[in-house]
Amino acid sequence: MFDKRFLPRTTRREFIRAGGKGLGFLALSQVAPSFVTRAASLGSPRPDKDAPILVLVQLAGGNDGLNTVIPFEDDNYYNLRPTIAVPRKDILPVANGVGLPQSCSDLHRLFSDGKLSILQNVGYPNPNRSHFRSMEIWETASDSDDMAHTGWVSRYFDNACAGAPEIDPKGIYLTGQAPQVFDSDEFLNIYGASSPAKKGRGGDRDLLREFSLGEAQGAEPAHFLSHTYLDALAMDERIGKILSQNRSGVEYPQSQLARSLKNVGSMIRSGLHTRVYFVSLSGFDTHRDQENRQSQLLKELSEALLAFQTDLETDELDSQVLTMTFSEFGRRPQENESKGTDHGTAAPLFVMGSAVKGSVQGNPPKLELPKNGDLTHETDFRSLYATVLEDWLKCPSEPVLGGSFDKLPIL
Amino acid sequence: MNVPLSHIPTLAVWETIHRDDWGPVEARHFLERAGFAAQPDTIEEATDLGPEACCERFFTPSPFLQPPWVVEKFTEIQDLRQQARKTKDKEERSEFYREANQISRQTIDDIEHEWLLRASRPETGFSAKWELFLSDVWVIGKRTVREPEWIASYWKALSEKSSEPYPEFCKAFSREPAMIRYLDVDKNSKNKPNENFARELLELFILGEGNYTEFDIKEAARAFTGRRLQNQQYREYPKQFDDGTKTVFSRTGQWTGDNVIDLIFQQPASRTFLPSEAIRFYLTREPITADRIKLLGDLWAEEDFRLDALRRRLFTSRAFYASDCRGNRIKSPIEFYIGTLQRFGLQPIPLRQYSTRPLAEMGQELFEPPNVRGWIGGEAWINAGKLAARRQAAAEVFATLPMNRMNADDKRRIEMERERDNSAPFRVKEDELLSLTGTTAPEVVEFIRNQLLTVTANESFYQEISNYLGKNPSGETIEDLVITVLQSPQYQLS
Repeated sequence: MFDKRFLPRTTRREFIRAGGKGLGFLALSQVAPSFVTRAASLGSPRPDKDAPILVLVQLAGGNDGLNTVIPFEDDNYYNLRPTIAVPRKDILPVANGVGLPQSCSDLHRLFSDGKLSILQNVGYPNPNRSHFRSMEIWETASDSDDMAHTGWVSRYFDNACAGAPEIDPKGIYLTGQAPQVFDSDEFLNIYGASSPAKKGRGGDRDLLREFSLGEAQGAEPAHFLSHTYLDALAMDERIGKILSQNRSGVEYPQSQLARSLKNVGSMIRSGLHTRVYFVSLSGFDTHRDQENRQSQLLKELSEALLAFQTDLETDELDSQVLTMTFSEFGRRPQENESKGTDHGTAAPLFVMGSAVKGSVQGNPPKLELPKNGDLTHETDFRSLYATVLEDWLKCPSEPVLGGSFDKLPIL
Repeated sequence: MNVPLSHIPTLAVWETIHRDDWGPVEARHFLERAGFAAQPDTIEEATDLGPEACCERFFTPSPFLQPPWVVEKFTEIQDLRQQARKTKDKEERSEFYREANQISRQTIDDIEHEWLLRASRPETGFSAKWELFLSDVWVIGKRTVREPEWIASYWKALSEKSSEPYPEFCKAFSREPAMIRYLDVDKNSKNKPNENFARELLELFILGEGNYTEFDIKEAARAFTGRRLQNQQYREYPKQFDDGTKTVFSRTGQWTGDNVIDLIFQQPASRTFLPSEAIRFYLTREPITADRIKLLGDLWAEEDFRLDALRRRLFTSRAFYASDCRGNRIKSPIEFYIGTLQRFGLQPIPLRQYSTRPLAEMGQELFEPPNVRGWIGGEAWINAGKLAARRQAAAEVFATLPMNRMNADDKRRIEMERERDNSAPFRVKEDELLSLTGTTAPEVVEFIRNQLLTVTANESFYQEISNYLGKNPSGETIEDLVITVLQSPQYQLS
């Protein structure tokens, strides 16, 4: 049932009074949204301002790992990919037999500066090749055959941040839909900042506010709706202000991912107590003509990550933030008939931040495979989650992951 | 009718609304509540028909059948499992099982789409909503049942039995494989009784809490022993059936499960439980006085507990059209979503990221109520996060489907759907919207008043709209306005 404590009497009265006088929202915002009032009245301590922050970068569609972290000393690589292999001369070496393509020159720079860890062959047992299902497995951190339906990040919130009501959202996503990492059975303060401009959610926010104010004096349940709407709109307003007032001094490239990360930077700079941000870059499902498409995407990723890291460093926020990429699966080692690759299994991923040990973890993928065979994972993705939970977010990983996973020496 | 519920005399509250009190306003209320949305042409038709004929016209029997490609999957899944059983190599065997599981999950997605399609079509939407109501009583969850064939069978049975006498319905559903699995009937045996089903039968399906004893549950459970699922089919095993004497509600005999259901229906609470649930689902969450509910229950019992009689009584009653039972119910996410599709002549997109996923974000995961009590409903449908999802879903109606960013499989699925009979558009383009709304400010205001809002919003609402539109609104302005209306608190009410 709806918790009536969410409607403190004074707030109710204020809404009615403001509505009755036909005042605009500015007058109303003198009255804090109810959860603000509630938190303040309970005198809950604000959490540590310098608490660690995690930024998740989803590469949707299944990024081809072999053309991202390239095993260029393995002849099998060139045999498996007669048309789409990256020529040796174009590769930026990072470590024992592997290197990055030119499109990742910014990532290469981050690696050279010791701010990027590369994890090889990350996956899970009994890989599933359905986009949706495999993404669900990554986001819920479940076994391949398990039907878990809460996100691993929401379980982290349940374990580490439970208790005091929080004014700031615990998690913020900058995608159209809420990612499953935040799926929860309970109410969690998660905010979607898809594009929090005035028309971010479609429609017109000012008009919606007027509509909501129009019901502020109504009977239930209209009054309840009105109140909840005004709360939500107040949050939009607040985040909108943060994004317009906390501009970065750093130049970001013109891309969607860069814009998202720039906004994440602004929110971090504003001192929001949000612990996890989620951004996404899609289009990695390269069944045909992979070369250009993937290069563009990797370039977008690479440039955006460097800009973000630079932005954080400029404001000395870099020690507080860890960023990691993930994708639902890698792609088949052998190229297909359309100069592309089909759905595969394990793949490398990146972890970025001033706190990481810049290194390549794990071995180059084993490419002696049966015809059209798949890669075998070497590191379970939940080992990475366990590492991030324990060594970065300082939270026991077993209750979150439902099991014990070996940690990785990346932090 | 402009009379609040409390002003209708108790003896008259379930009487059919007088023809003189029936007009477009009542017709519209019927269409919005018994179905998902009222369209101008159906409002006109329903106004002419009157309440009783509406219950016939809009509830024409239509079995919910799966298309061939879904039915084929049932066999494919069984074949894969059979192959698995024959395979000695452990690794290979689990590979077969994995594939079977994967296809099962996809097939459940497909069945969900078929259900949304059924709900979104005005000719089947009313029945679909009534079945949704019954499924909120006889709850199953897809994550527990997991077997697409059983889920399909359950929904088909709902479509076929939803006009029968409720005792017959209960007997049939006590044999539905999905129900058997969901409430552990197949674990209930003579030596090791499992009371899960018997408890819910009394507490959540027929009588309600407080109308039975723990002893009744124990004894009733014994009567449902020996029911098993063998080769996907429902079977009764006489050897596992406890054929001893049982005493249920002080009546002793060698009762079978069916006997027990008949005994339960001799309890007075059986008359009022389901009608109360129907009132809560369709009419109001405010409590209705006991004497009124009792009257409704007695009338229903006289009609042999027929489900079609119950809905006819409810939807034609003076209570249903009471002034304080209109425009004060928060739409469930399914009602919000399906109603919006119907208002714009759309159909659901056959990809879960565009249909069941947004529904789950709004707080209603299809085929998966939170627990055996079903969805909580009411104010629980709304909080900041769920509201954001509703706002997003409203905007999505007018966004172009990003075909060029879609996976190959998804593209194929979309193409296939477009080629089906009676397929409808997935999204509204701006010019199509303008042909619905008109292009002048007064036309747009009338469209919103007549086709989007059930609630008579106050005049200041329409004043805001007129101000927003100005003299010569652009297409973009009209689209933004319509999205905002779909997002408004007013639109969330019906």
